Amino acid sequence: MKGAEALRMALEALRVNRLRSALTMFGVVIGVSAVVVLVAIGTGAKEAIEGEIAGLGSNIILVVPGQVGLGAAPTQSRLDLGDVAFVRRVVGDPGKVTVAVNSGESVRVGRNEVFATITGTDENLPNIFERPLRRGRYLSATDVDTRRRVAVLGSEVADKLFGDVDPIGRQATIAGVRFRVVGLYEPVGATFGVARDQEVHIPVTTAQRLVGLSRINGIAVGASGPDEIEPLRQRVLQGLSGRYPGERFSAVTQTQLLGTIGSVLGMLTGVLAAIAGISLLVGGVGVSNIMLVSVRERTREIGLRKALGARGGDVLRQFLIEAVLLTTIGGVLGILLGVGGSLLIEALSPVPAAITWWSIALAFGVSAAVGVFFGVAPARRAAALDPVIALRAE
Amino acid sequence: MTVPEGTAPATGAAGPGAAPGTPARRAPAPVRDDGGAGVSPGPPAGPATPQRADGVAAFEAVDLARSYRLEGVTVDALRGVSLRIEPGEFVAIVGPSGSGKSTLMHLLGCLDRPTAGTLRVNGVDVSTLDDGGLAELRNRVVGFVFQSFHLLGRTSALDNVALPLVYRGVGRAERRERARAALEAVGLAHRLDHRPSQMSGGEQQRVAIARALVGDPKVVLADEPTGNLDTRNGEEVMGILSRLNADAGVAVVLVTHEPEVAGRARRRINVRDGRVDADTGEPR
Repeated sequence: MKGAEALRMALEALRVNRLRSALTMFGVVIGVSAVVVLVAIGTGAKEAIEGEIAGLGSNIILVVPGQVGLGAAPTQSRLDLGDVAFVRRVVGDPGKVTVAVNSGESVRVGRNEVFATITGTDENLPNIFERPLRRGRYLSATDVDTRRRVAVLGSEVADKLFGDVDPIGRQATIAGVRFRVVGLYEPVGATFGVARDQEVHIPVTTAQRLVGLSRINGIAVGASGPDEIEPLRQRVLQGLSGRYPGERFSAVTQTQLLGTIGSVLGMLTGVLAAIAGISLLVGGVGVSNIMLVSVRERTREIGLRKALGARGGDVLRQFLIEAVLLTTIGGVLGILLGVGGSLLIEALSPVPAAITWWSIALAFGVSAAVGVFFGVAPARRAAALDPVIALRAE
Repeated sequence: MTVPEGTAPATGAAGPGAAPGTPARRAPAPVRDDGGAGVSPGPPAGPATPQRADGVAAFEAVDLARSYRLEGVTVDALRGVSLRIEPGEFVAIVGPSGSGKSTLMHLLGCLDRPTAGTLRVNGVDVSTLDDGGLAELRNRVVGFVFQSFHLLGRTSALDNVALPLVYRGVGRAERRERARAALEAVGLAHRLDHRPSQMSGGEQQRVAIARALVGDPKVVLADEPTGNLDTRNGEEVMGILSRLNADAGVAVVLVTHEPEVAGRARRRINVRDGRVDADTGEPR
């Protein structure tokens, strides 16, 4: 018997039992679409976060006191502006080093008031971070040197305080002190849950006086290229360790962040796919079950086919193809449903979903394999039937 | 144009000497037409008369036995049956129920294997065949007609009849053509697309006969072919089987316990207690 013939026979058998075939397929459809959707969500989350990190700028090294990591106790900073000058000397390019002093403060304009992250920084920030301006200017060296009370607003802060009014040149009161708005950033979204559009940047010197601190929270260094990151990181760490023996500093690069986040999210995606895979397995068991029922029901048919000259292999192939058709048709429908569901989730919810080809190929391959795996036992049973007994069956 | 001497003797030399119809005669390539060049390549190899399988019985059983083990008890269904059925015979195997006639039928039809003894079907010892070989014998040598028809319920008469050819690897168009011819031969040309449920019992059995015939078998094995039919339809089915035997020379072996049905066969083999009780033999 030719393959095309076996395929036609199997299709015919599935068509005859339409409802049963559809219900059996349904299990596979759910399993496959779950794989596609969950992998899409996992991948989407990973891509979104990696995109945020990459959106910060390129080749950034963040230097902070203490140890960085989940569960590490926050360390009281002992870095100050003198250390920033020191790091500038270590790096050799003062323009590629900037600083941050952070504090949450309320910002008021007239009757509008918002709570914003006030970041004290300097004129080098745009050299290191990707932070395009919509209007006005960045902080300048003079702003920092003369401790001016000027501010560059994040887009969300500006919207809430000024609405449609152009904020440039207007006054805003930060922690009771009046500042003049000199710049307005483009919206850049959030990174690690830090809403960067809710930041207000003021000169670091002004910020230290405003919050009564001489410390700084961190130093950011921009490397000139990807290959420079690691040597530079080592140099900065060694310099700081020499300056403060016995203390710990951390210098985290984007690559490290990407690596950590990527592996965590990759694991999450894997777990999601495995859970979905279990439902696919359950669907496969359903296929096996229904094929066993089908073989029993069609015992006489099998006996007849054998009497007419069907070999065991012909019967085996017929039932195996039926099982594989059930799972592959279910697989294709599941992929369509999964892709549709992922697009819907992407469109209607904040959950990012990225459809990946490997998940589709995997889902299809697995569903076909499930058909073979779970179809073999019933098909072998059919092939092994004794024609004399099979013909007598009721 | 000259024909090189070397080519002619291949046929020419053998031509006059060889007795016509010698089975060993090889006639590989079609006789070359020399386009009237005048050189005759010797007498043509004569019309290849279909080799009448003289000496090759349709069935030849020697001490055939079949026993079953049912829950530790051995049941001897056949206890040494020897018989020979020639091509073109019309044989009825009769006997009371439990006599072993169905078992004999299954053995002859290669649905089952003997536990002892030898069975040659169309000259082939079935003990030398694997299951695939048996399937092929069933497909090419034997056509089955069952008491309960055994048609595929949701399949048209045409596709039911074409089914044996599927397992022979015959293409779809040819299958349908041959199935149509077989259905016409049993008088069902107007029922090609009907399903079994849309046909009477007599018509269904005729579809089954068409299915048995479609592969040009040597033998049709019919197991109580009229058992589920009324008298009139039974008559009709027996008429078709008789005609088939008389016109096409297909051997018919039928199992029955109805004397009238058995009476239509030229030879009657009585089976009792797993043995051949009486055999009228083929009338000369």
